[in-house]
This record gives sequence, structure tokens and C-alpha cells, in this order.
Amino acid sequence: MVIEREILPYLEWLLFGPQGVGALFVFIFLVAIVALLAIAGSYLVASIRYGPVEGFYSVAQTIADGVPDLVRLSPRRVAAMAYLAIKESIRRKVLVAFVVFAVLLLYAGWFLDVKSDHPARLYLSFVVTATNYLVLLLALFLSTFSLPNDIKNRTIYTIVTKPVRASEIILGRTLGFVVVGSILLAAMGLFSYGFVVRNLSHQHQLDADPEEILAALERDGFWEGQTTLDRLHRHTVRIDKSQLETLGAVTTEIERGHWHTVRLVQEGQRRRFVLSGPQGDLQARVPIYGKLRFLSRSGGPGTGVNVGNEWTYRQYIEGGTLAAAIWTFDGITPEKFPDGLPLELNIRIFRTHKGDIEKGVMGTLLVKCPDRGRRIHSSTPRNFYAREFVIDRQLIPRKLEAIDSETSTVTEVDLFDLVDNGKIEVWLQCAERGQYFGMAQADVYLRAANRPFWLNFVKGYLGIWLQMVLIIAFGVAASTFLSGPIGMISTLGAVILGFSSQFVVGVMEGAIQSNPVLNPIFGTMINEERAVPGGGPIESLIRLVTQKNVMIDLDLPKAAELTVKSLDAVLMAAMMAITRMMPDFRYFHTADYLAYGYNIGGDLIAQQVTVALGYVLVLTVAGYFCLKVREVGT
Amino acid sequence: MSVSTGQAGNTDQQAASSTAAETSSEVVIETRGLTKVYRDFWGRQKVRALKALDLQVYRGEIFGLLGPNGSGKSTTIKLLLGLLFPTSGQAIVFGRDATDVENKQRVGYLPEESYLYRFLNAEETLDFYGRLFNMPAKQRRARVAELIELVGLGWAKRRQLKEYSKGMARRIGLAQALINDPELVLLDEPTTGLDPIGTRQMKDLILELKARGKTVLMCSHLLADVQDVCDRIAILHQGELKELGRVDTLLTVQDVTQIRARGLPKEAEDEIRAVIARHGGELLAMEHPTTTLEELFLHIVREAEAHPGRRATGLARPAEKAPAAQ
Ligand SMILES: Nc1ncnc2c1ncn2[C@@H]1O[C@H](COP(=O)(O)OP(=O)(O)O)[C@@H](O)[C@H]1O
Ligand SMILES: [Mg+2]
Repeated sequence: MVIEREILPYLEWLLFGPQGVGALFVFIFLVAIVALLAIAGSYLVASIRYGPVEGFYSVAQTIADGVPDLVRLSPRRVAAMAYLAIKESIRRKVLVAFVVFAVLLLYAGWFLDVKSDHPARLYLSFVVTATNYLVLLLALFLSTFSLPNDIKNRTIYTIVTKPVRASEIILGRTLGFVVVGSILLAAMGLFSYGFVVRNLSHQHQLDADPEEILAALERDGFWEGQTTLDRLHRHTVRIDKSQLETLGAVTTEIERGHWHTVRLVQEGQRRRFVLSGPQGDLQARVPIYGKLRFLSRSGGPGTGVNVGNEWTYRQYIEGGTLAAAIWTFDGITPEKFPDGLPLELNIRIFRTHKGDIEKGVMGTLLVKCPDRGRRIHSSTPRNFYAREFVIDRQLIPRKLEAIDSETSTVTEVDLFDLVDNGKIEVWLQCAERGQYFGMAQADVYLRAANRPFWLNFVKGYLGIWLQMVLIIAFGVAASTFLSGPIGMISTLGAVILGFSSQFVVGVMEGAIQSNPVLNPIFGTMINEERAVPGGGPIESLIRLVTQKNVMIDLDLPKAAELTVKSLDAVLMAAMMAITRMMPDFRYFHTADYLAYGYNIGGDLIAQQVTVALGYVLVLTVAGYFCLKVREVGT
Repeated sequence: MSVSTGQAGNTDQQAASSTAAETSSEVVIETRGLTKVYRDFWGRQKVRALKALDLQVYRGEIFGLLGPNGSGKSTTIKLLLGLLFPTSGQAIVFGRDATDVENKQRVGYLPEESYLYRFLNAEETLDFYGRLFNMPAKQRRARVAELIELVGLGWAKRRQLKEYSKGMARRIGLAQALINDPELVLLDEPTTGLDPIGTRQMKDLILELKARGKTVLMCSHLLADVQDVCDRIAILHQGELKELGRVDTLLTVQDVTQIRARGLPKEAEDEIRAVIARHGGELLAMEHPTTTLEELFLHIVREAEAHPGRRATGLARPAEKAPAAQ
């Protein structure tokens, strides 16, 4: 589904990280390496130009000057540079981007699939993706061309001969473009929100005469029927007289990711049923995750099965055996869950035979108390049908049937009788022989609450905003030493590397793995799952030209093959080193959270902001030194 | 640049000599063996633009860098501003390295061409540069108004610079150079692109700056400009210093005496001829002077402004309104 990556709590992420090394230390380590390389490089250049002693002196002087320049900034000067950047952006007609966006939305209605099963997902993904790309493209253009233009037009002469520090030029530019980008992004966000809400909103009527329905309610106590067909769908409705009277409203069945509530209103003498607008399609669920473990098919502790070309993130349990997936949830209290546990299941299915496609694959679900010493520690299993790509909601009610382990009889207990120290286990098994359920930790969760959707929307756009800030910082830093077009391509390259870091690492590991010399040394460090076969750039080129697929031998002389493979490994290691320096842009891409209706958690946002801040800081410093040592007068 | 700005609006030589004494011995600019070699992208040598220049400029003087096109004048100025880094040697301004940010607080620079933001108008431009000096808003507003008045662009202050003529851009360029009331002003070809009135105003302004104790370093290939205002000059040729010294001493012809008089009758002229002959001197010339075209032009324009619609009277004719010609 969406959250294929576990989000650690902020402090844990900062200090310990998933592999025991916190992001903070990775950051410090990387910055130290880059700084050392930069200092060594500049000393080399300076000593060639001025000789070893003078060179050392000039590098030291530059660094020493840098400290006050970076710390003592004048807000007024930074603001002046920002103002200039804003004026320049307006002159360069950035508003065109907004017009493009508006036109895109106007025509999108024609292209977006109206028959989609999840129109909310479709519309949200569309607007968020469109906004994302447009804003990033704009940020790229603005930031990479500005400073080079200044140098080319020599307007920089009148700037750097004023008491402006290079750091103020960099920061001011960054700030100015961020302001322009933010205004555009905000406008696009408002527009998008309106677009999504307007396109989703629709009304139904009940497809029967109100008098008939009322009569049926009087006669049978319920009415079952359908709504009218609007926007190519209709909902099944069951109105229960007692429910209508106690709750004041009933809900229709879920169709296309939403439902409507039905109320009875009195209008003078007449009574009629009124349906609300769509509900539940724009939401921000806050999931509570449990810890997942598996039981093997014989019932002992173990792992699930890997069903082929699948990522180990998700494991499979075989149907009709004792294999089970067990989630242990913590912090379960009656105050938090007064009505029972609202489970949401999101299960992958791997079929070895067709089975009943319509109904889905049957599974069983039960809850257990982690304390097995209790006389009553397990509920009775209940069946459910798992369907692929559908979030199945199961409420585990307060009143449960449980098994008395001494008498082996069924008794009724309260859900919280099975909770031990706030902990409870949820067991899932696949009931059909020959079918498999695939599950990962994040696939089953308790839905604790709904946050306001608009807030989630803002948070999603914050992710785009942070990406924009990163790109602007990259672009401005690149533009201190590269010309406009080259700076733009480099920044774009950085972004693409940042998006595909996993792949780069995989190719490198694949190249090492197939290398007869390197494999014995580094082979143990390689993640088999990730390694991509087919070698690095040179080997791939040879395969491309000689039309050999990635699985067959390269068929070169031994020495040549080893040379090619070693060169590839070095190339890929260099590329990976660069990749490691790039921000992982997927980290900021929260469009899926929005589209699938998950709340974007505070931890994730805090991590995003921290990462972005770290990069902006480093890039500003780097840009400062590049601009400072640059001879702008030529 | 309105003519009224200076007491120095008299004839140039007078003003220059009356203030020359104020030049102190404090060194404001010093170059030691300053050398600049332009290199291409690969580090290969392209042009040796400046060769081991040694110069000193003192507080309060107007120093002129003179030389043909491509002789290294602009290069020198850029080195003094830290826009270029010397290949060898040192450029020292106010006792510090030329690249020091502190210097820039006290320096004003008019580039060769007006490299300004074309999408800003005159007021916005000056306000922007004022901010770069960290000037508070109130002070900035006053200074901007004052400078726009000074360079005579009040009528065009709301127009974007892209609509400006070259001379107008030059004026706003000068205004931005003066925004911080600098102690040292570096002017690269200050009079190019200016009409004769602008040229005269520019020269008057330079003298006015000197009168207020500022140091000016200007470069030009227009000999007349340099001669009119500079106290000392350096002549550069292909990056080498060829001559350095005071303008008056460099230009005085020691063995020639010039006498000028007004209202002398014909007989008196004959007497003078006799006196020269008696002392064994050789009479080189005795004639009625012609004025320069510049003087004539300025006279006509002033006349036209004083009496709109009337055709100006010639300068050479003895008219009472004409200022004392030479
Ligand atoms: N950016 C540059 N790259 C290469 N050569 C340059 C550059 N700027 C100036 N030069 C060369 O340096 C010499 C001096 O130029 P400059 O200082 O601009 O002369 P000027 O006295 O006319 O101001 C000229 O030969 C010029 O061609
Ligand atoms: Mg020049």
C-alpha cells in the first residue's frame, strides 16, 4: 500500500536510526567528509597557483573570513537581495506556471477516469503530482539561471562592490525564490483543493418513493434499496428503523471510497429522506501500528514465505496451515477504544488457483491475550473475505465470544479482559488451502482517529514546499560556479539521483557481486535482494551492443572481463558516493498519504524539515565559499 | 549634477588649483607590483593586461588613469575593487586588501557601462543599493531623493531603467556610486555617453567631490577630461606605466610665456612687440583667441535656457551676458 517504510519516532531517527546510526551522525559524518575533500581540493588548486605556503595561507584566510561572514548577516541586506530575486522572478513571468496549472486542471476533468473505483485517490494524486512537478521545474529554472545571468550581464559588479557578503547574496536569492515559489504553491494548493472537492461532490436521492419507504419501515422495521444513479454509481442502503430513531441517521454502503448519510427530515406535512454529500473519501486516518511476527506452517515461530519476485518487506502465509501473522498492539485502553478495536486490514493475496474471484479469499481473525497463562486468553475466530487493494475494516467489538481453555466452551467476555498490560495480539490466518496472504507490519493497524483532511492536505503540500526549498538551495549553490544550463542539468541530475538512490546502490552491489576479485571481499556486505544483475555502465553498454541479456555470460577474455567489471565497480562506487550526498526525495513525496487518506504524522514532518534544513545549511555554506573565491570581474 | 551644486562651477583650472593644496600625504590606494594575466578556461595565458604596476593615490586628490583602449585601466580599477584577483602583487585600499568587505563601506564605483537592473526604476535602484549599505529607511529615502536631484533625473525617476538612454543610465550609475557618500570614488570612463552638458556637470561634480575632501580615481581615454580635473595622472600603455606626475608640471612648457589681455588698443600691441624684441625674445604668436567648441556649446545652451525661444548670440562677440571667455 502506501507506507512501505517505517517511520521512526523523531528522536529515535535522529539519534539511532534504523541501523543504529542516527541521521544526525550520518549528517555530521558526511559533512565532515565533504568539508575535508573540499579543503584538500582547494589547497591543491591554491598551492598550484600560489605555491605551497602562500596557498595554505590563502585557504586558511578564506575559511577564517567565512566564519564572520556566515554568522553576521544583515537582515536588511538579505531582504534587499530577496526583493531583487522576487522582482526578477516576476519579470521572468513565473506566473505563467500558474496559468499552465490552471489550464491543466480545467482540462484534467476530461482525461481523468470518471469510472475510477477511487476517484478521490485519482484526483488527489493528480493535483499533487501536477503541482509537485510544476513547482519543482519552476524552482529549478529560477534558481539556476539567476546568478549566472547577473554575472553575464555584469550587474553583479554593482552588487559585490557594495558591502554585501557572498552569504547574503546566496541567502537572499534563496529566500526570494522561496517566497515566489511559496506564493505560487499556495495558490496552486487552494486551486487544487477546490478542484478535488468540487469534482468529488455529488448528491443522490433514495431510489424509491418516501411514502413507500416509510411504510416499509412501519411494516418490517427496515427498508433495503438503492440510491439513484449519479456520477456513474449508486449505493445500496439499508435503513433500520431503530437505528434511524436512535442515531438520527443511517449510512449507505461504501461505493467508490465514500458513503452518504441518510436523514429523515420533516417539511411541513411531508417527510422525506435527505442524503448528505460524499463522506469518507477525503480523510486523514491516524493508524496505530503493532509489531508483526509470523508463525510458520507448522505453527512454530518463523518467517513467512517469499512468493517470488517480491520484496522481503512483505511476507506471505500459506492458507489452510498453521501459518499465522500476529500483530501485537500496545497501549490499548478502554478510554482510547470505548467501542472496540477498529482494525483496518490491507492484505495482499497470492493465488495458486483462481478460487472465487468475486468473493475474495477467506481468512480468519482472532484476538489473543499475550498472557497465555490466563484461563480465557483467546477469542473465537471470525471469518472475513480478503480482497486485494481494498482496505477492509473490521471492528472487534467490546463483547466477544471467547474460549474457556479449561472447559473448552465458549463464553462471552469483554474485549479488555483479553488485554494484558495494555497489550493485545491480533492473529490473522488464511483459511483457503493453496492461497497465500501477504502482509507487512504496516498492513494491519488500528485506526485511532481521523484528523481534519484539510490539515493533511496542508501537510502534503508542506512536503512539496520542502522539496522546492531543497531544489532552490541546490540550484543557487550550483549557480555560483556553473553557468545557467549546466547548473540546471546538474541540479536535475542531483534530484534524479536522489529519487533513485536505491537503484544506484543495487547496481553497485550487482557489479561487485559479479566481480570475481571484489566479491570475496565485499560479498558479505551485499544485500542479495537489492543487487541488480547486469553490471555497471560499461558492462551494460557492452551487453547492449552485443545484445546479451543480463543473465548470460559476458563471454569476453578473462582479463578483459575483469577489467570491465572492476572499472564498473569503481564507477558505481563513485556514483553511490554522490548519491549518498543527495537528499532522498522520496522522503518528501507524501502524495500517497494524501491520496490514500492517511494522516501525515508529526514525526515524518519533523524528519522532513530536519533533512531539508540540514541540506539548506550545507548548500548555503558551500555556495558562499564558491561565490567568495570566484573572480566575478572577468 | 545640476550646475548649482558646486562653488567649483567656475573655470576648472581655478578650482583645481585652489583645492590642490588640500591633498594630504595619507595613502588611500597603493598597488605594489600589481600584475594581472587573463587566462582562459584551461588556465592558459591569454592577455597580460597589467604589468607590475606601482602606484600611490593620496587622500583628497583626483587621480587620472590615462591610456588608449585596452591599456589596462579598467583592469586596474577592478583589481582595486576586488572584482578581479591579482595574478601577482598587491592591491591595497585603505591599508587593507582590496577584497576586504570593510572597504566597500567607504568606496563608490561607477562601472564602465551601467550594469544595473533594467527592471527597476531609478528610485527602486537607488533604494536597493541603499539597503545594501544597511541604511535605515528614513535615511535611505532622503538620500535617494537627494541623489536623483543631483543627477537631474527627477523627471524620469519612475521609469524603468530599460527605457533609459545611455546618458541617463550613466547618471543613475553615478548616483548609485555615491549612495553611501563614499570617501573614495572609482570612476571608469565617467564621461562616455554623456552629452556636453553632462560631461561638464560630471567634471564639476568630480571637482566638488574633491572639494569635500573625497579621493577620486578616474580613468579615461579622453585627454581633455583628464586634463581639466585631475591633479595627478598615470599614463598606461599596454599594461605598463609610462608616465606619472602632476598634471600642471607635466604640461607646463617652461620656455614659453603666455600673455593674455582684454581691451588692448592696437598701439599697445605694437609696444609689446617692441618690448619682446628688446629683451631678445621671439614672438611666437599674437592673435585673438578662438574658443573651444565645448565652451561655445555650453554658452548656447545656457543662453537658450535663460531666454527660451531666442537665438543665442555668439560667444566670440563681446556680449555682456557671455561669461569671461578663457
Ligand atoms: N575578461 C577578460 N578576459 C580576457 N582579456 C581581457 C578581459 N578583460 C580585459 N581583457 C584584456 O585586457 C586588456 C586590458 O583591458 P582593460 O583593462 O579593459 O582596458 P581599458 O584600458 O580599455 O579599460 C585588453 O587587452 C583586454 O582585451
Ligand atoms: Mg576600460
